[in-house]
Amino acid sequence: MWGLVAIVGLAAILAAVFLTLRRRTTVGEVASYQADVGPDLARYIEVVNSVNDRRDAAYVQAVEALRGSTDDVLSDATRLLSDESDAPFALRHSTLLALGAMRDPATLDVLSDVALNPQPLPPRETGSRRGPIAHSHGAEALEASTILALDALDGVEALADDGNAAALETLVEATVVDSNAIRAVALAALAAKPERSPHLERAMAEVPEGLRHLAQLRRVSVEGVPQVEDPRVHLAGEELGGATTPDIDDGAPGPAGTTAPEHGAPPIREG
Amino acid sequence: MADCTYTVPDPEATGDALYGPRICYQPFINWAWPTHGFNNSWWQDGWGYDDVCNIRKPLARCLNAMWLLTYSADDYQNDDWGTDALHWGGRYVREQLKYYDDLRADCGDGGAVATTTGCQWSRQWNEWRCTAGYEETKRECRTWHWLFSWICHLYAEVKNFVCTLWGWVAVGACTLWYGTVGGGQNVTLSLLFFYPTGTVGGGAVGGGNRDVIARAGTLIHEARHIGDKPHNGNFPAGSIYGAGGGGADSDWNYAGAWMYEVLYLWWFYAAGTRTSIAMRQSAKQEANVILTNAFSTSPGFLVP
Repeated sequence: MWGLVAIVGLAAILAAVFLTLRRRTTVGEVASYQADVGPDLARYIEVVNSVNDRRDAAYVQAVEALRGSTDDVLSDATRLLSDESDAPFALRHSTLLALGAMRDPATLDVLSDVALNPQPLPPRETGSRRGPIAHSHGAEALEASTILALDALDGVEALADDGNAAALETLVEATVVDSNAIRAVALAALAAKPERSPHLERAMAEVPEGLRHLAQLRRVSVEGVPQVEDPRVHLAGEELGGATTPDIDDGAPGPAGTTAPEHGAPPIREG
Repeated sequence: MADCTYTVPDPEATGDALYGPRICYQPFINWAWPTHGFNNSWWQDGWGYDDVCNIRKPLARCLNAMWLLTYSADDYQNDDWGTDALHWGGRYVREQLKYYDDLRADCGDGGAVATTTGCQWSRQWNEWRCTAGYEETKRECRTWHWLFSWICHLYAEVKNFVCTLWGWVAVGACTLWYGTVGGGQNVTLSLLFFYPTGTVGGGAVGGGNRDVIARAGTLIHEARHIGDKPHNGNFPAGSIYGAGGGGADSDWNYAGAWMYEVLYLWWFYAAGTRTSIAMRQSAKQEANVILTNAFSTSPGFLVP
């Protein structure tokens, strides 16, 4: 009798182990996205993704080149940023930075279109409006389209700073877009200069009661917000420490294969 | 046929072309592997273990984010806890991931970009729920008449004792579960951590931003969850994450995963080095999206 109970119990434990074991999955590449853009936009994308200072000579030259080929850049940008485009986020992001850097009123239509009509990126979900999001970390597509709209809004604000009246109107229009981030950033842009107060008042009249707090958000420096005073108190356990961070030669690639793999780390494949 | 597939976006625009040559350095890989708790067996079968420098593969894309977290402060050797998030962010991620010592890659379900599985949900009882509840009751007690307030204080002590006891029982049971049949406490990075689009189970997934700084932000976010802090609020009106649904942080001072993520992105935007203009701009915009969508009570500020 007890032997039977023991066997059944053992079988139940083994079944539980089997059921809870997660199978390792396999993955493979099926395609890559190849950007098809003109040389000046291609050069800008390369530079904006490799230099870290707008005063860098390479960056200044790349922006100059963009300004010298406005029609080509606008044509490429319109195609890449259209609803039908399958361009991924990062390429759109760099393209919008290019349009913003040009500070050319001719870019306003494209920038306004992206800022005022954030569209989910491919692969798109069915339906005109996205449904409830099951998991907070799964709202990636909406997050990405909002980031792009904010990129565009930065470009619009720069034009408004240059005195472009149509750009200022676009900022007002952006305050009624159904997006907290776009609304808040547009309202902050309108609040940034005293001479824009009539526009701000007009915009505020359209903001729903429940979202009025968005107009209270202020642009501040990171030093001005509450920091984490001591992250150690937020560690899960005792501080473990670890090996010293390897030194780098200021971002330069290290020589491959200078040491053997250790601690089960993968080896660098030669060749 | 692979369980999931991906499309590789332009590696220049995602930042991978910038960081890729930097991670392809055996001393860095030897250091990053144990300090971030990589689990070897979960990085085989196409995930990149056998081709660690290939930025088209998931492992290199993950290491790119770890390189960014490690070296983006000008004086990266200074990762003192008393500095700012740009300095201690990478150290915090390493400490937390090493605590679980089981970093995995997996197809996922096309929803979450990363999941943290373990006892952080039960540990939080002792770490903050009991303490917060205790302090709240004590505050309430101070409003009572002095003749009766001792009853209230006694109640607070008993409640705190029961809560703490429950916390220990929950942690013990949870640790036993994950240590035996529960598959271990781990952080699993899904396909959508590495790529903006792909297929899982034959269905198209994605549409997001998975550039290097977005991946780094996710690692900070998940690390904070390991640090015993679940989301404790509902998303605000108009949130892209689903207004009224759970998953938000109550406010900035709660110092939860969203706050940690924003703080890192913000510092990276303001002072990040060895990176690019495009990466920093992406950080700024993502921080503003989170600030306006992921806190029940608005923090009241924006990244300029």
